[in-house]
Amino acid sequence: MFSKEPDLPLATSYCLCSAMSYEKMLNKQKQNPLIFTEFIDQYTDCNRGCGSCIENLYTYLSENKLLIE
Amino acid sequence: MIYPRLFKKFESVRWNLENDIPWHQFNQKKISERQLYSIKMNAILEWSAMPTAEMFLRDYSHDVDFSAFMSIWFFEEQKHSLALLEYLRRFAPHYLPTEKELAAVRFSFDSAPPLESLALHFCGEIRLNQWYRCAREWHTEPVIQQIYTFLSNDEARHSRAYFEYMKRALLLYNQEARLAFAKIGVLMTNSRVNKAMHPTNLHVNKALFPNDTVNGKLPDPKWLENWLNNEIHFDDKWETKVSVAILSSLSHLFDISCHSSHQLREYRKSLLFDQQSLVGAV
Repeated sequence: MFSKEPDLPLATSYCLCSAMSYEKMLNKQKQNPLIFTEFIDQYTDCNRGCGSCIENLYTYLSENKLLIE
Repeated sequence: MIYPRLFKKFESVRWNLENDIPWHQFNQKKISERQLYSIKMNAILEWSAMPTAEMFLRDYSHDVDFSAFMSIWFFEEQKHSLALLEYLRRFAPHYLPTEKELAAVRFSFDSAPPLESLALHFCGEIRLNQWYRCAREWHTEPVIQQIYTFLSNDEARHSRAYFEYMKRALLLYNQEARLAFAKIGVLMTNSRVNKAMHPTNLHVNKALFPNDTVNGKLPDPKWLENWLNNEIHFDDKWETKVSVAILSSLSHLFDISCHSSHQLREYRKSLLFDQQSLVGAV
């Protein structure tokens, strides 16, 4: 949009509100898989935080075949 | 262009000053004079977004994308100040800062390397996010606790936005951006190297030195240090959260594994070495 530059994904690998890396969250999900809403509720602080990571985490879990809807 | 996506995202989660703050829940018994004083000081500190926005618009005149994002950032930071001022206006008007006190934190910043300013504010927002989380725990009055929740979440989103511009800068300027970001990362994660740790503590105008920090322009220049150390107790536990967030983000950005300020310094040294080798070879 408006530019020839490639669109950059709005992604990082660290959640400021949870003070935790995505990798750490992924490991929790590996050990005890939860459906996505519960994953956000129990393994992250995203619901009480800024919310920026929720979309990214959905993609991240999906890419790692750990997404349960 | 990053700005249109950020605009949409930010707009979808933006809180409303009138309707989303539970003003009716105010409890006079749960707020102290020191807490009210700290609200006044933070309202003035947030007002210093004004000279910062002016600096960015001047130093990023070559970059319309980032300059457009400044409109969001500036609006939200001024809103933070306004929310705190509104709290004081409603419940403790004797603590409202004067217009003169607000105007004191607006002064010209010298030009600075744009990439370093970008990284500095990325780190600054991470720190502010944690300061406000810590402040929320310290406060006991429910309305101000909710305000600090909104503020801390906004600062987290701001740091994410700055990070997006850092990622773009890496694509555009690669080595130059890596060096600038690593330099600021080292400064902002190592308290032995630099006790400032936040943009409001930095000297920003040589002609006004030593009276050229935002904190120095507060009615009480020693307030911030005392608030952090003796009131909200922003201790090692909180400092670690700041450092880990900065180092993790930079590790992701540079595609390296970096767990300490020292490792980041070593990475920067290796970049400088590569650069010098290249110049030597040419």
